Amino acid sequence: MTGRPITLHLSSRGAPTFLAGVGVITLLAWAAGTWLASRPYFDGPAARIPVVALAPLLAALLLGPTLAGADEDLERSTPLPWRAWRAGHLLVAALVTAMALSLAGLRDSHTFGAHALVRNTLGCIGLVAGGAVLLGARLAWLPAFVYVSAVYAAAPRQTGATVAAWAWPIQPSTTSASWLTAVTIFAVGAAGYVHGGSRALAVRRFRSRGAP
Amino acid sequence: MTTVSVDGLRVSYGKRVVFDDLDLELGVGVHGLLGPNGAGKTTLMRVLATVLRPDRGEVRLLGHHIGNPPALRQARRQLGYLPQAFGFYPRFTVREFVEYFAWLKEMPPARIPLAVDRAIERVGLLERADDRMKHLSGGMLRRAGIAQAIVNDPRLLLLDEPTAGLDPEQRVQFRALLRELGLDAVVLVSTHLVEDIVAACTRVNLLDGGRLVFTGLPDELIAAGGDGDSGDSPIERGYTAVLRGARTAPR
Repeated sequence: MTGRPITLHLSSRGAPTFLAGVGVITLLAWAAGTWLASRPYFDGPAARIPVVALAPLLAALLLGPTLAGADEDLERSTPLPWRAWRAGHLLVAALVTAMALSLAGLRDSHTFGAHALVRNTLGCIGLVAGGAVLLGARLAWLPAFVYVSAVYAAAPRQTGATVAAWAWPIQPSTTSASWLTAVTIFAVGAAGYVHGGSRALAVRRFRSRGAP
Repeated sequence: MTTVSVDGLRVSYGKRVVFDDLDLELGVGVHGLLGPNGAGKTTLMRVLATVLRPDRGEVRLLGHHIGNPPALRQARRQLGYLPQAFGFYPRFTVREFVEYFAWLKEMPPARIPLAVDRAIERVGLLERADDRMKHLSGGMLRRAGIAQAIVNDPRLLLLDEPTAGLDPEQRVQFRALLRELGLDAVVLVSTHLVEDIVAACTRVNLLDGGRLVFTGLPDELIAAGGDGDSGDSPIERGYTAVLRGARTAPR
């Protein structure tokens, strides 16, 4: 296979916009993390919580529109092994985003640094993938945006296992429960997306079942 | 020779049943699919395009049973489909759009450049081949959609209202293209424009309320109409007469 079909496929998904966006978010995350950590009114690594919570969320929101082509019916009528392509698309996007964002937190990788950025990238991308399955690619951003915003606003300061499980986006990366939740969300969202692709299940219940 | 066979098809949207026990057989040629809004034309097209899985029933396309994944993939390689309203890729040029679908249809890479040019030429868009799709008119977009549908020389071509948005001259050219395609492929054309049926179709299928109420030659549909039936042309009178008969007959 030559690179031409891959180029067309990436272009059909708006991948250049996504990649450019991730680059900009990485730069902003790096600059904001450094700036926040140097403020006298913040105390230590917790200064980077806004960056750790919001940068993966923004990157995942940018990923949403890339999870479907312009016409799902037209593409589904073709013989391409779509499940394999969807799996590749999501895994490569998660890998690229996690690698880029982790660069922004490498200086202090523990607690609220690179590790937490990777965890939150997985969790947010899982939420967006699940959102694409339930609501379609255009609204895929909605569950991730609502959930992470709500957790950030609630801002629980405890670090127990229960809190870490639901407030994973703003927990230190050293809490294993937060990782468990984020990785589970990624696995479930990715499995749903790979199996069924971007489609509005909530709407299709009233329409009919689609083909793979 | 039957190359599309639908047996006992049932499709429902929630509680609304669109088809219940529909049978249909299509051979090589151009088949018109007529029917009022909501009759099930687009649903049937989506089932045959393998994008909508029926609740039950057997669908065989070009000898392949589409319930079997390897056979489904084989059938899709020989399929061309134009949905009623297709989403286009604004950043793509016409050539890139058709090329992308040639690749999605798993055409041999060496054949793609020539096939793309030929498909674009057949729909009369060669001069606009390098224009971005966001700069095309509605009729041109429709023709680009037809080009992607025919790029792989499909043995089964499904066109859902392909002439919507085409001007009269383009429609005449399109009918000629349909007749040409129907020489060695199964072409199913859903339309509300009955004059397209007379001009281009070898057979007509008429759906009403999810039932196949007529299947036959265009001349037979014309003959079903009388002077007392409503319509401005013989085939329109035949169309309304068949619909009226189907609705008054006991089910």
